[in-house]
Amino acid sequence: MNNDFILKVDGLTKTYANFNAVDNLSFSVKAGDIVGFLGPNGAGKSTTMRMLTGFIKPSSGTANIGGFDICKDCRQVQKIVGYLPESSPLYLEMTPLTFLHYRAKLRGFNKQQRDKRITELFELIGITDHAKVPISQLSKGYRQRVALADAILHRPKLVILDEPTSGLDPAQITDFRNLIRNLVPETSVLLSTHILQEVEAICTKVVIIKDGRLLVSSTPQNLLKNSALSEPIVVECQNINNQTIDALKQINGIKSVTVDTVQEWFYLAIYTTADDIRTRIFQIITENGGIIRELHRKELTLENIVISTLEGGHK
Amino acid sequence: MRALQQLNAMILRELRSYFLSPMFYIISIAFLLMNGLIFSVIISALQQPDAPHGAVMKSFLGGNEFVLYYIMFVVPIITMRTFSEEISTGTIELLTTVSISEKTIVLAKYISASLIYIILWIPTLLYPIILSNYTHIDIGPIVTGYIGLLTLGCMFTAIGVFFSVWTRNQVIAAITTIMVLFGIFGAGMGEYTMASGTMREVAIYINIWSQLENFSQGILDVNALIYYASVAMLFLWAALQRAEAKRWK
Ligand SMILES: Nc1ncnc2c1ncn2[C@@H]1O[C@H](COP(=O)(O)OP(=O)(O)OP(=O)(O)O)[C@@H](O)[C@H]1O
Ligand SMILES: [Mg+2]
Repeated sequence: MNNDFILKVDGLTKTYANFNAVDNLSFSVKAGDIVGFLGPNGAGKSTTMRMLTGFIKPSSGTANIGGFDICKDCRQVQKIVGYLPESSPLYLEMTPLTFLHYRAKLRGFNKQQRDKRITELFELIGITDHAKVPISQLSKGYRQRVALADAILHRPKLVILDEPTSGLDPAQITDFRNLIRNLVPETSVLLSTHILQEVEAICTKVVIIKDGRLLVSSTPQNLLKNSALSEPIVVECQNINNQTIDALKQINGIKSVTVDTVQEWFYLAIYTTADDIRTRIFQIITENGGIIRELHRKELTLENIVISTLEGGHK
Repeated sequence: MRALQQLNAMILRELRSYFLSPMFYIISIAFLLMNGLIFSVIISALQQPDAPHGAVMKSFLGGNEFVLYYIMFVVPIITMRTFSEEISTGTIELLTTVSISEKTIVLAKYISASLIYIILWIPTLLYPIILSNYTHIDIGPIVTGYIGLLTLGCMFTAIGVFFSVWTRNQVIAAITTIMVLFGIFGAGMGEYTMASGTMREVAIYINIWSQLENFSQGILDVNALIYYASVAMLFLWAALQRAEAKRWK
C-alpha cells in the first residue's frame, strides 16, 4: 500500500441477478484529491459507493481505503470513511441537534466531545438557527447540510458523497462546493454528480464509468488536453443547403458537421481533427452562396468531452 | 464498551421515535379501550351471584381469548417498522455504515420494540389497584399472569422483527407476522382436536392459549418460558443472519 493513495479500487464487481452493476472496476485516489465520479443513470456509481462504505458486500474484487481492506477490515474502514447516501436519507422526526448527537454516540464520542464537535459543525455548515427544528420541516438545502455534517462528523479521511448537490438552488450549490473544497487536505472526497460544471469547479480528478466499467480516470486538465475532440467551430449563417454541407464535409480534417436552425439562421457546429481551417470553411460557405453572420472557435468544455466519451463507450 | 454505547443510543432513539409517532398513540388508546372493555365485561359477568370469587384478574390476564387475539395484532404493528421503515427511507444506509455490528442493531431493535410492548401494559396495573379497594386480591396469580403475557409478547416481538428485516414494506412485514402468530396459535389448538400421538404432545407444548391460562392461575410455567425464549432466540438469530448477509434491498 502506497501511503500517497487514500483509495485503491481493485477489480471491484457487484453482480445482481444476471448482470454486473459494477464490473471489474479499478481506479485510485490520492490523498487530498477531490474526485468527480461520473456516469449516466444506472452506471453503477451508487452501487460502487455502497460497497466502499460497507453497506453492501462486493461480489468479487476489493478496495483499500487508508490501508484497510473493505472486505477484511470493514469496521476499520467505516471508522475513517464518511458517507452521504443518495437523496440524503435522515430521521425526519429528529432535529439536527438530536440527530447529530445520536450519530456522534454511534461514532463513539463522549458527551464533551459531542458538544464541542456539534457546535463546531453547526457553525461550519450554517444551521445553528435551525438546530432545534424537526428535520421534516427543513428545506432540501438544510437537510443536505445536516447530512453533510453527519458525513464529516468524525473527521473522516475519505468522505463519499452521492450526488450531494442534487436539488439545491444555485446559491446553496456554491455554498456546498466551498464546504467541500475546505475539507481537503485532511479529508479526501469522492463525489458523484451529473453536473459537469461541478467537476470543473472543484474536482482535481475525474473517474467516468458506464455499465459498471471504467471509461476514464484522469485529471480534468489532461482530459481536456488529450481529448480526441478538438474545439468546435461554430458558424451562424444563411442560405445554406445540403450541397454546402456536403462541400464542407469534403474538407480535409473535418470530422463532423451538425446543423441547427433558429428561424432563418443556421447554426453549424463543425468538429475538426486537425489544424485551424476556419478560413477554408469561410471560403466554402461563401462560395456556395451562404451569408455568414458569425464564425468562431468555441472553447471545448468538459461537458463536450464527457458526452462524447460516453457516446464512444468502451474500447 | 463501544457496542454498549451504540446499543444504548439506538434504543433511546427508537423509543423516542415511537413516542413521536401517531401510531404509538393510536395503538395505546385502542389497547386501553379494548382492555377496559374486556375488564368491565369480566366484572359484570362475575357480579352474577353464582360467579366464583376473586377471579377478575385471572380472567383478565389469561382467562379470555381476546387479550391473546389482541396482542397478536398489536405486536406486529409495533415491530413492522423496526427495519422496514429504515429500509424504505434509506436511513439503514446511515445506520449500517458507522462501524456497528449487526448484533447490536438487531438487539437494539428487538429490545426497544419489546419495551414498547411492555409499556403498553403499564396502565392496566391500575385495574388490580382499583379492585383491591373493593375486594381481596391475590398478588401471586397477578404477577405470574403478567409474566406470561409479557414474555409471550416478547417472543412475538422477535418474530415480528425477523419479518421486518426482509422487506421495505411495513404492511407486508405486519401481515406475515400476524399470519405466523395465528399459525402458532392454531397449531396449539391441536391439543383439543387431536386424540393422541406425538403431534398432540407437540401441540400441548406450544399451546400458548392454555399456557396463558396457567400463568393467570398462578402457575409459573417454566416449560412455557423456555419455549418462548427459544423461539425468540431462533428468530433473532435468523434475523441476524439476514442482516449480516448485507443485502438490504
Ligand atoms: N438491489 C439491486 N438489485 C438489482 N439491481 C440493482 C440493485 N441496485 C441497483 N441495481 C441496478 O444496478 C445498476 C446500477 O445502479 P446504481 O444505482 O449504482 O446506478 P447510478 O450510477 O448510481 O445511477 P444514478 O445516476 O441514477 O444514481 C442499475 O441498473 C440498477 O438498476
Ligand atoms: Mg446513484
